[in-house]
Amino acid sequence: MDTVGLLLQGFAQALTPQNLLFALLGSVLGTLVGVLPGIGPTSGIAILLPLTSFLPPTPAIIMLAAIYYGAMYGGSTTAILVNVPGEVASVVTTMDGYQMARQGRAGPALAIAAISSFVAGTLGLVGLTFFAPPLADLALRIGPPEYFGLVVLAFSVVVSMSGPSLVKGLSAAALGALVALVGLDPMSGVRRFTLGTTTLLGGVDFIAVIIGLFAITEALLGVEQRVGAVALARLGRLLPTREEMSRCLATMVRATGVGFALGLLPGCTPGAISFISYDVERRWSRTPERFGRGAIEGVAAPEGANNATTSAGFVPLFALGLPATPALAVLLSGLMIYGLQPGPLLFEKQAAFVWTVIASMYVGNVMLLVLNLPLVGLWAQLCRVPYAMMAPLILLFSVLGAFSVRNSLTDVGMALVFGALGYGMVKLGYPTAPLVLALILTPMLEQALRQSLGMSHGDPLILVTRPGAAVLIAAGLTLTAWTLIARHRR
Amino acid sequence: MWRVLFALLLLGSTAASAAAQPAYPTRPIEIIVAYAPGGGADVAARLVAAHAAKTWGQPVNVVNLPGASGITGTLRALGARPDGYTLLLEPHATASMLFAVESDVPFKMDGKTPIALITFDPVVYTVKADAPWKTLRDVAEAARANPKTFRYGIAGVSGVAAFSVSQFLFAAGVPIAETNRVVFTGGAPAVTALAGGHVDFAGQQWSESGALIQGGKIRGLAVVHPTRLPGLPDIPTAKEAGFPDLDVVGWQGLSGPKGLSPAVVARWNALIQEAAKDPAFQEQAARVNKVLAYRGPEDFWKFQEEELKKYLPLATKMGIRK
Amino acid sequence: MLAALGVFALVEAARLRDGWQGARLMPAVVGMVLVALGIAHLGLPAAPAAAAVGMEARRRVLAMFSTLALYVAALPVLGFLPATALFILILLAWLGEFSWPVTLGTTLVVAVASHVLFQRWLGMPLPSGPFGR
Repeated sequence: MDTVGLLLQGFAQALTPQNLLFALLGSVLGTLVGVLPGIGPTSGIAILLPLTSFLPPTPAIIMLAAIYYGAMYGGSTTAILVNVPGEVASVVTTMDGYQMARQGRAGPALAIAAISSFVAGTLGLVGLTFFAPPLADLALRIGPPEYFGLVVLAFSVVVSMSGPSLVKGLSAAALGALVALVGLDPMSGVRRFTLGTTTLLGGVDFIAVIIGLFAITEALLGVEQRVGAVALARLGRLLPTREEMSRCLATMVRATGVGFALGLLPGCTPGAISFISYDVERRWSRTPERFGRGAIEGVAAPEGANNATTSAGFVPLFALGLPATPALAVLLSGLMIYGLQPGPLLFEKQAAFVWTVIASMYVGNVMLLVLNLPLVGLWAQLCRVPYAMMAPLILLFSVLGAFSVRNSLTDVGMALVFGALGYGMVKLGYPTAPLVLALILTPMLEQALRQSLGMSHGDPLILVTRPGAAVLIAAGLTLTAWTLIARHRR
Repeated sequence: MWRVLFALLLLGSTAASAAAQPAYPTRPIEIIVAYAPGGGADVAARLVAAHAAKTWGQPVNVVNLPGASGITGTLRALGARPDGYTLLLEPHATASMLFAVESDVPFKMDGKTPIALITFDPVVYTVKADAPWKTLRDVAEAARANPKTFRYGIAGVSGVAAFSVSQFLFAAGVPIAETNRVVFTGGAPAVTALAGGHVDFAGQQWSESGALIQGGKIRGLAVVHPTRLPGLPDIPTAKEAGFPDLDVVGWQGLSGPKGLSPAVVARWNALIQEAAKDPAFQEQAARVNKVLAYRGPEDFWKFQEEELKKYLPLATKMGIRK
Repeated sequence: MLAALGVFALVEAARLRDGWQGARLMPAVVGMVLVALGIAHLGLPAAPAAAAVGMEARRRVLAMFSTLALYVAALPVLGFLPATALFILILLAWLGEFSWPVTLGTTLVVAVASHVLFQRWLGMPLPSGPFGR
């Protein structure tokens, strides 16, 4: 197939000093932007887009793609170091990553995040390279009923994340579901739970919730317990042990699979995907109790899944012109302004351009690895900074991050509310993960359900008469039942 | 120490405002887009912003304030100081269509200074590429014959597609209540569902449908525009397809808070008119699937009023007026 | 706690008047779930004494939270730069046992740096307060 040849040509282009430079610049900027909580890939690309406007098309696109990957990666750095997810997809990374940091193992956590991201991202790109058009077509066949099945499956993760008390876990989830419903119903425009104000009309934003629930709660807990610094133990080695690496290898492959497959579906958010990947990894492991306490696979899985999803997101983008996430939508408009006409014709009409971009994405992945591994040591040192200095900074960035999502102080207020709530939840033994997961999944569930009903004139049987949907729902129910039984036995 | 700083700051800003006498703009301008980045409104804003920044040498920043179907951002823009440095990119959805559907909007339709209409985003009626229907009439017949199995997808209950598709269905004599309406959260998911065969029909804007049409996944049956679109030469106009009365169109324009100075309005109008003649700008617009359609402030306002008159009865008939 | 959940449940049960079956569906479902869970709480063992947190610790937490809340409230009033500076100053002075030069120095650096980075360079529309842009 000509593909390899074209790819090599693309590499030739991508490896020119000028393009390399821009890839580097993009990676750095993207990472920096991603590190800032709340300023995730979407805002990052939107903010940095004007900077690329004075460049010729190819380097500009290369830079934009690098920014995207960088931003996805940057979010995990703060997630590990200070329990502040840089964006929704990094939430899961906090669960084991932060624990590792507290044990003085921030180094290995960061390193594995970088490595896993690289491996998964690259493998994902391979998928993109060779299978883009057929994959895109496959993705099209997933319609609302199948989505519903998928979300049901994802909800089974809620049960397994509930911790010791199922009731508390489910309550957290129900709360999350309720919060997700606040605001203008995106499908019918009806106001829900807005209590007559315009502020709540826009609904509650994920990022604000996450910042509150994680960053602020953690800061409050830190003050309560008078922690000296994030790392409660001595800083150990900087890289994972050989044994840890070999364990993670399989993890990375699994995560790539999950991340890539689900990432192909427009509308399946990276947040949900990272949760699913984490859960898959946990179920697969022979020692699931380690998860949540600093299991290195718990970092490798979501990070890998993230990057695989990122790569997969480009499939519908290039092949169909459909952005799978808001960040990609901005990227798309940037691409179009530069003359890229996405669609199946893309590979024919503008082959050179496309392959250069794809090649540079490979390069970008490598670059991120190269950039970040050495920096791991530096970042890890941050864990030793006295908490007295970190806490104000964390709070400041929390405020900025919450604000930056929609440029509104209301979101900051929201973050505060959830910060307090999170503190309360932790103290009373309610797990926070189900809340976040429910927050992510409920809108998806609702849309899928209502759209399916719309398709069938209100007949709920559509969910079981379509094979894909039926299978997924059955799988979800089975998984949930299985988890419940397993818990009971304990 | 603080007092000295304060004094310096005061001095600085007075100096700056003294210097503001020469031509507008003298500092960065903000165009607020009440939607998330990447959408139709956002793209139009960036198009114009880039051109303005280049021409005037001052940064023109697009600020996204999404939320509440565009109400949040619009409110903010209209409440800003009318000094010409905070403007609103106004799409059909927060102007005529919003007021046709909602009776309780936190701002008034005339609570702004219209500056200019910039782009149209014409509606394209589409079906799946391998669907048996080759013309709009075919679709009309099929829908009339079997309304219960006819599914159409729209983006948002009060968006362009809601109006465009309903207008078509009414014109075709299809009993709407018996059809299946599937609501999506945006143009992209709607046309994706169409391409995947989950719905049979859609009426989204050009910028949303273009990529899939060119990719051969969906087929355009008609465009709502006086002439065929240059980017889609094979697709007949609604008139040619036998439905001359279809006239729903998406558009983007620029407006400012009430009380904007006529000088500012004039400068922008001059810029946009000049941009419309610039081939590079035209090309960029075409690439993002927008049709340049300039109207000056008074015409812009009249246009919106006419749209409202058009959409109000339609909204009531469709039962979406609240 | 269960009282709170019960109340919540009732709140959306009331809200169910919103619109028609489409928009009402999820709130109804969630409402019912919440009620059920509220009842289920009755079967739980009595709440463990919220992990013996000392009064002093509680006061610290409250203090930090209030400082944060005040900061956010102060933002539109004082503007980003002054409010941030004040915030950092207060927290550093209270939490850390640093010498005055370090405290002041850090405050200045952080406040100015974040101002430059976010307001100027990234162009975020943060509130500017009475001291101009």
